Amino acid sequence: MLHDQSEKPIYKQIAEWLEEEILAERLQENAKVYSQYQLAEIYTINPATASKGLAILVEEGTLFKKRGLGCFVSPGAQKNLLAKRKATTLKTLLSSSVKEAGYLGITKEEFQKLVEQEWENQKGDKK
Amino acid sequence: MNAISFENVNKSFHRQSALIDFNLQIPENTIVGVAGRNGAGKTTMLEIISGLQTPSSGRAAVYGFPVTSLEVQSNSIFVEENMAFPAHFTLGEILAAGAEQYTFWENAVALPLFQYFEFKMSAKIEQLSKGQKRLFQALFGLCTRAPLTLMDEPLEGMDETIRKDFMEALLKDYIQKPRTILISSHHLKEIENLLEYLLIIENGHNILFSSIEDLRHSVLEITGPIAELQQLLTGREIIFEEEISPGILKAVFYYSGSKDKFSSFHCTWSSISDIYTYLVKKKGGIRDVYHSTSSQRNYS
Repeated sequence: MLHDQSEKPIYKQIAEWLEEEILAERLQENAKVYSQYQLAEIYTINPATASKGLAILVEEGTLFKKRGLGCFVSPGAQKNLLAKRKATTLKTLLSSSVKEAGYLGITKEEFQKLVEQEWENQKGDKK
Repeated sequence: MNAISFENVNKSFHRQSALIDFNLQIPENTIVGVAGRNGAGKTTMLEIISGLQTPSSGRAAVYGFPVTSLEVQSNSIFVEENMAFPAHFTLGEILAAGAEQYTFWENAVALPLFQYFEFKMSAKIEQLSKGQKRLFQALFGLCTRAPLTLMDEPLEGMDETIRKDFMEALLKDYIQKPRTILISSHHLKEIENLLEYLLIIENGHNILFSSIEDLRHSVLEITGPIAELQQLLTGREIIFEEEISPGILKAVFYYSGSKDKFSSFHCTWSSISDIYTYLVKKKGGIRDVYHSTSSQRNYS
C-alpha cells in the first residue's frame, strides 16, 4: 500500500489510504479509526508519522477526535470526500491539458473549441 | 524535556578534532537516525553520550545530568561492535543477568524474541558467527528497554531479512515502551520510515537535525538551462549544483512552499537518502575524476 519510491510523504499516503477506506465504506460514519500506534505497526513506520496522517484528516474534518478514545469518521465524511476528489481530480486533469496545449502552441480559442467538440462528442455518444 | 543536550561540545584526539562546536537537542522518547560518512564523528558523539568519552570542552547532558553520572550510566545502553559479554557465560546466563540488571527488562518479550531469531540458550558468545554476534548485541540492547538506547551500526553484518525483522521488532518494542533511541546506520533508506528525526554529522559538525517529515518537503532538485535557473536561484541556499551537460544545470536547494512555481522546469522533491548524499558529497565527485582522465586520452 505504501510506496517508498513515491514522492508523496508517508503521512499523506496514510491519510489517502484512510480516505479510500471511507470512500469504499469499509470505514463508516462514526466508526472508530485505527490509532497512530496501530497504523505504525501495520505499516512499520514511526508513530509520529502515522499521527500526522490522522491529524490532517482531523484538520480537514474527515475525522473527529474524542478525548482519550481516539479518532472517528465524521458524519457526511464520505460525501465530502467525493466532492473534494471530484474538484481536485478534475482540476489536475485540466491543468495538465492546458499545459500540453501550451507546448503544442494551441491558442485559448482553439482549446475552447476542442473542449466544446469533445463535450458534444461525449453527449452525442450518450444519446 | 530534552533527552540529550550538547552545548558547544568539542572533542579532539591527539590534536585531531572529532567534534567541533557541536550543538544538539534531542527530545525524549523519539527514534533518531544518525547518518554520516566513516570518520565524521558519529561514534565519538555516541561515546560521549554513553560516558565512554568526555568532551574536551563544552557541556553534554542526558536528561539534565552530566553524561558521566551514575543516573545516566544505569539508565542507558550502548550497542556497538565491541560490546562485551562474559566469555564463559551461556547466552541464557547473559540474558538472566540482563533481566536482573535492567529495570525495564521483560522476559515475557525478551525470551520469545531470542527464540524467534533461533539463538540456543546453551551456546556461548564465542560460538556465534560475526553476524549472529551483532544481532545478539542489538537484541540485548533492545531488551534492556533502557530509557536511553544508543546503537552504533547495529545492522552491520546482518543479512537483509534479519535487518527487516530486527527493525520491525525495534518499532514494536518502542511502541510498547517508548524511549529515546539513537541509531546510526549507513542504510538510511532502510531505516528512514522508523525515524522521527534525522541527524547528519559531517567533519565533526552537526550539519542537519530535522524532523523526517519536515525534511521530505524541504529540498528541491531542479534541472534546466543555466541562464534561466540562475535567476531563480539567486539568494537561495544551494546544497549542490552541477552542469550535467553543456548549458544545462542541475541544482539542489532548500525550499519550502509549493513547487508549482518551478513547474516549467523538471523539478522534484529530494528523497531523504538523496538529501543525505547531496549534503555530504565531495566537491566535483567521481564524475570529475573520470572526466579528467578521458580528456587526457588521445583517440586519434
